[in-house]
Amino acid sequence: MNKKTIGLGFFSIALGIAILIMSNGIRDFAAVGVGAKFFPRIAAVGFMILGSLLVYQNRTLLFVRSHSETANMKGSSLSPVLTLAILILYLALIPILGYIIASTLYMFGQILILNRGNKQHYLRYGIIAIISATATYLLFVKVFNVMIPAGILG
Amino acid sequence: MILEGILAVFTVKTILLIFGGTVLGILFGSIPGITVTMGVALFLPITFSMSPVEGLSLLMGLYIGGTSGGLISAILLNIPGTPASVCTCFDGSPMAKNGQAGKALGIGIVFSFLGGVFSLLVLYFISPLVAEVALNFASFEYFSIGVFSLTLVSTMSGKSLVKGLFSALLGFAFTFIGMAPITAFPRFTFGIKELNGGISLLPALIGLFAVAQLFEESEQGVGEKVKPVEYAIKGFGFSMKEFLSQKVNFLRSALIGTGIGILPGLGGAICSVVSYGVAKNQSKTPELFGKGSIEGLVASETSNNASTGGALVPLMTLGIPGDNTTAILLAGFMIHGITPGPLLFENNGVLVYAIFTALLLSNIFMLISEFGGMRLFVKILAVPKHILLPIVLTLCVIGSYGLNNRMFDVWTMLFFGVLGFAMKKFEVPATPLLLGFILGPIIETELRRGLMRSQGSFLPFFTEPISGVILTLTILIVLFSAFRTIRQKRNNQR
Repeated sequence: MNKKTIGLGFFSIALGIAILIMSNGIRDFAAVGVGAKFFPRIAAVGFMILGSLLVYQNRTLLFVRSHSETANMKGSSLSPVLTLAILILYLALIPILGYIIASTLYMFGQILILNRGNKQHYLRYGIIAIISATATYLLFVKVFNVMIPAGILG
Repeated sequence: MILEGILAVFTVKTILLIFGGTVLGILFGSIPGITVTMGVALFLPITFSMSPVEGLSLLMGLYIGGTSGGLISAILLNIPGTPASVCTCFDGSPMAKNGQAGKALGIGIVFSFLGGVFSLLVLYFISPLVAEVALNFASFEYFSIGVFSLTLVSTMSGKSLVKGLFSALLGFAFTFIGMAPITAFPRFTFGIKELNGGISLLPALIGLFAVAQLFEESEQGVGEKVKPVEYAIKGFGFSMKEFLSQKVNFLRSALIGTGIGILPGLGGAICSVVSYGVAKNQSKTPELFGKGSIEGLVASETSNNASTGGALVPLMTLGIPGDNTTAILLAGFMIHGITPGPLLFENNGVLVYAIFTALLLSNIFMLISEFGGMRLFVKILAVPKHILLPIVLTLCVIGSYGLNNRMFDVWTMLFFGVLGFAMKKFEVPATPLLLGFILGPIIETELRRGLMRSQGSFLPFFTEPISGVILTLTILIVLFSAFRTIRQKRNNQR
């Protein structure tokens, strides 16, 4: 248990409150039994209770400054953030450039990110990215009849 | 019907699909960080254009191969290929380091096969009986089973009961998005028309188990390349005397694996740990465990493969998945317009027996290909992860896009990937979320139907015999888990 768990507790409470407020807009239509509002409200109360429990279980840490966690946060790798950024860019480019070009660019970038800190072989990675993107496209489109955006190559 | 089902599988195309699926499954299972769940999810879109028998046969091959494949890296690299092969490392790796890699692989492969076949026999004989009983279930019973399954998973997954319940509730909350059951009025769609149909299961699954893994690997770094231990297998790698000495251990581990596998959401990893622990307790030489004991290896590999047939029992008879991978298989059924449940045996009997046959063939192919293709699998282990993971991610994109041919599902996949990664950072287990996502609509629909039947009274949920017993069990499980958590806290404070 740590400060992250307290954060999760507060998030859970906030989520519960948000669901509770939003559930007011649901139309019930229930003549007998319970309507469409019932479960969202049960879940909202559940989130609030569980969130409160998480905060209560870790209440002793509420006002303690945790040096180790701060250090961990600072020391954590930048790679997941770069991975998320390149993934967002990749998904945004697929409808425009098509699967093959967007995937080639993504794979090349992602390999470089994952291999950060080691010796990079740009030409080899480029060839791998082009071959993989083209091969997967042809395999799924021609063999398995799965539709994939072709983009500007279509 | 049985013969028809068996013959449905014996076409060249289906046999090749089962064989290919098994080999690919072994590859997925053997590469650390790429799980059987991911493998089955990635290949789900390929089955769109196939017949139900062909598509599900391929998925079964992937499931069986992927569950067994983890033993290769566990023995040769001391890295479990899948969570279910963690205990295989304990004795498989020391055996390999002592120059007995061939023997360890032989024992692992043969007992994986035997465990798988044992659980398949249980599935074959038990599931029609369970389905027959389940035919009498009404809304009250289905609601109770849904709540029971979700509670069981929440309390057994991870270290914290509260976090497990939070995860299950989060999965449940995602099911509120889209049309409300029965009344079909949109809820929580925020004006986004793509959300009217709710969140699709497949992109959520791929995000939660594949994309989240990519984030995790990128954070940990790809690290140094690990060199597999040298090995050589003569025959099966072990003597008949060694084989026969494991009779009791095999039977016990197979029963534990199948039994725990039947319980929703627990999966092969827990089966393996429990079997290993029991084998150690019952052993005449417990001091050898962790140093290269055949008993430990047999217990781990028998039970994690025995969980496969067990996990399929609730899926095929009640429509409730037994683990993460069977949750994806559930999506595989649905893609072909088939709803698993008690009626499956009546309406799709041929398909049921075709699946049983495909499972048996998958186990046989697993045995043959692991002995015959070991060199290939070991070569694949040498492919660097920084090359492999981006390729896997592009397959994830194809998988999510192929579902409805829309980018919205691919964005959904990314959202769940980020969520899955965040959950790992906050030590929140992902399995309860998945089960909450699947069981949520069942629980809500059946409760509302049940209340319509009982004119708004909750009483029948407790007074109907089966429903009452299951709900009582659910309450006992919550109380037991809460008591266990409090006791652990007290022990930690001392």
